[in-house]
Amino acid sequence: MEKNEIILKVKNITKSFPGVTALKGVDLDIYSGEVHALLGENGAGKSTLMKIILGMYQPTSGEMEYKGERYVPRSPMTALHKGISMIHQEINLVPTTSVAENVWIGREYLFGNRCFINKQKQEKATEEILGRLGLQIAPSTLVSALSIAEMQLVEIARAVSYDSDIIIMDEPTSALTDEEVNRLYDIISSLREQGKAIIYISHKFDEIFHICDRATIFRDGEYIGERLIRETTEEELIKLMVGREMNDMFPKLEVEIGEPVLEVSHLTMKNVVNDVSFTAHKGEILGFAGLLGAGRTEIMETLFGITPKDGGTVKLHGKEIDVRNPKQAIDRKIAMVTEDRKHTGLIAIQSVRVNESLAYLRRITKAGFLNQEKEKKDTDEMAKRMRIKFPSMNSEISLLSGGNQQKVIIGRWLLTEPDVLIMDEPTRGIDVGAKAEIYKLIGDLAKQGKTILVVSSELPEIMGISDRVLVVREGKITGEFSRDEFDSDEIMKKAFGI
Amino acid sequence: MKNKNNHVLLLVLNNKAIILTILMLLVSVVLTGGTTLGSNNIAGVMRQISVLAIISIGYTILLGGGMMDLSVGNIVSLCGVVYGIVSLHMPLFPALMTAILLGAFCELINGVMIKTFNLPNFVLTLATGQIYKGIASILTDGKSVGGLSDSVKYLGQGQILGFLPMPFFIMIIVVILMAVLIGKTTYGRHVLAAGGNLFAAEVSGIRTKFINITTMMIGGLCFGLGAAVLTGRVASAIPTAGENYLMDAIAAVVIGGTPMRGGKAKVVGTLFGVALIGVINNMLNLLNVSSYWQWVCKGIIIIVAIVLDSVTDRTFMSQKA
Repeated sequence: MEKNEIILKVKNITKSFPGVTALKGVDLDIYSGEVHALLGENGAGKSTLMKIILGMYQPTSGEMEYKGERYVPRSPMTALHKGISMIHQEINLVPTTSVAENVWIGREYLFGNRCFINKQKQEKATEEILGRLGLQIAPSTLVSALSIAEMQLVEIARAVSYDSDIIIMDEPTSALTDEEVNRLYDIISSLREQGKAIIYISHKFDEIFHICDRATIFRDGEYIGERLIRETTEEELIKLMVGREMNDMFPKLEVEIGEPVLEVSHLTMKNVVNDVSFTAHKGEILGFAGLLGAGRTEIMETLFGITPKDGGTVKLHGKEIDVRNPKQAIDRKIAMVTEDRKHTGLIAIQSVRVNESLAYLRRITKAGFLNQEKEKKDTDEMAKRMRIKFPSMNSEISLLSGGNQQKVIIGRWLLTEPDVLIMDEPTRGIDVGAKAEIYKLIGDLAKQGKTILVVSSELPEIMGISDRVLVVREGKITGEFSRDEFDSDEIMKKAFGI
Repeated sequence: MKNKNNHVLLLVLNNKAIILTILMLLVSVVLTGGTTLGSNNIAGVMRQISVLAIISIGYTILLGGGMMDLSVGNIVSLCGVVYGIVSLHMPLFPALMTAILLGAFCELINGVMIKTFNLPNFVLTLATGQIYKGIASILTDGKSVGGLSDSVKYLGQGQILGFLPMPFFIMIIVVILMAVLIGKTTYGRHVLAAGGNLFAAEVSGIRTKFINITTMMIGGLCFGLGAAVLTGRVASAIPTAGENYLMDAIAAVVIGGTPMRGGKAKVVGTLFGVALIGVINNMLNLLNVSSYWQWVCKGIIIIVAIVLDSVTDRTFMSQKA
């Protein structure tokens, strides 16, 4: 395939669902030998278009051209065999089988006859592909023994094994450490060298500017524009995505820092939290930076009682507390927005209202009965305050976009009227518009005198909103920076232990 | 316009138990030439479905709370046998309490085992079910307990207010209590939260261990009560009497709209799920169709119900762009 010519042309595609038009006549040109960023807020129609390209949905109107021919995929199988594959955000591997079996799943016939598979041949082929990607995983390893990052790299290996000409990557770095992200960049670069086209979906601008050549922007199901990355700026892309100026993502409010609220000294939990001491004050936003797996989440979970501490003391408002479970933490006016929204946040099958009121129900209970009028009033007000967009308070929360789901969860915790609010990756996987709103909200809460602990893996975010940043490495606090000392290089050095 | 059609469709799908019941009732009236609506027949159907309803209402909170249980039928058998034996030596009230509390106790064992050792509900209740079944047979040497007192029979066969079959009256009370518990209390919310997402519930300050175990015990109260009414209705305590109730209860609850994976509990839906099974069984009886065909029909109805569920999910979930 020639480099830098159009390999896939999406023309005027519209997709309607009952009641919703997800795509309104969008175009997209994908060039071979390029990494193409697809940008847009959640709900902009990116995933719908990807599903159409993969043949999972059929478009309502419009057409596609692939390698100069009309392209009408009827199923993901057609797409795969034509050379288009996708690495999904969620891991799609069979954990109980080996890496080799996962890479060649559905194509066992390549390594044997109708009934039997030649395992050695299969593992050899796998080794060859893993080697090409610079991965040191034995093909016979069970997938369940791999880290999330390794699983993601196995998915990439699978896409490569199809010898695909177009590889779609949906937020491929969300579970990777910086080192692994760099490895991924290398892999992407070499795929680009080979003339492959990559469609790269991400909310992280540093990645987009680092690895992408071109960007197409969608907003509300419409095509907004195409830009060459080297000719554009972050500000311009954000403006195109959200349709408004966003000069100030981090409107840091001047808040007077008050007296100490949470005093943690020598906190330990198994081998994961090691002798952690810090003090958080009234009105302060205290950021926790560090690499994935550094122990930041575990510190927060210990404070919140999800995994009780083994040693050390925690004082709240000067009084020592010993929190053994989340209920005790909530009773002491500590709240925690957990990292994994799907797993520990949402009750997917239940309504927006029920999800929002979950943590404060006991406060509006009399003789066991729930004051449903008060619940309705409070949740309505909170939804309005959080500017949550939804069909109705009674619709299932799973129908909302990630950003709106996160706002419901934050609302759930604000209803408990906490003094200390712990937020673990509060903006993970949500779009720019919702992010800005959440930053503003965090600022407002600090101004109201709440103490806020924020864990984030995005440095610009944590430096943008925090008054003070603590760096965590291997369960210890290895650095402390006040706002006027913020320096991303220094923080990263502490995080890596250099 | 399209949107409006969707709302109607959604309304139909969400209330499929009611609609299917009415439909089957019409079919039944037509096929039996009106015998279905005879007052004797109606009272008979009410009596028949009451026991299943009481048990299924208990099963509704179990499934809604995410506590699948395969020992239900055997708990009903065991409670019935113990109730029969105890009632020969004691007045009705203490015997009845024994049956009800025994149901809760059996579920307490289930719940504590599941939560303490972190066992899968499916396997553990399959095993305890065998134990309960065994004990029920050991207690009577596999025979039925007969010669029960009139008050025991009254509970299953009598009438109240001159026209209402006693079992039906008990069922109504159980339905109301359960609907209030699930719909109006904080405890009910916590049960459904634990059923919908155990981790999210725990993180939100809900003591999920306590909730899970007590959820099973509340179900157990219903199973004990159902066993007592059943024993009265058939006028003897049979050590295998409860066995068919597991399948029927699951069918009724699922048709009624409570999802197998928990997080929602539809008490009134269950009632109509039971009514649907009752109407179909009755129709086939009136038409002299063998009970073997009744099993086939029940299977088909469950399939129809879950297919409708899956269609609902696909139609209304895929709208998310």
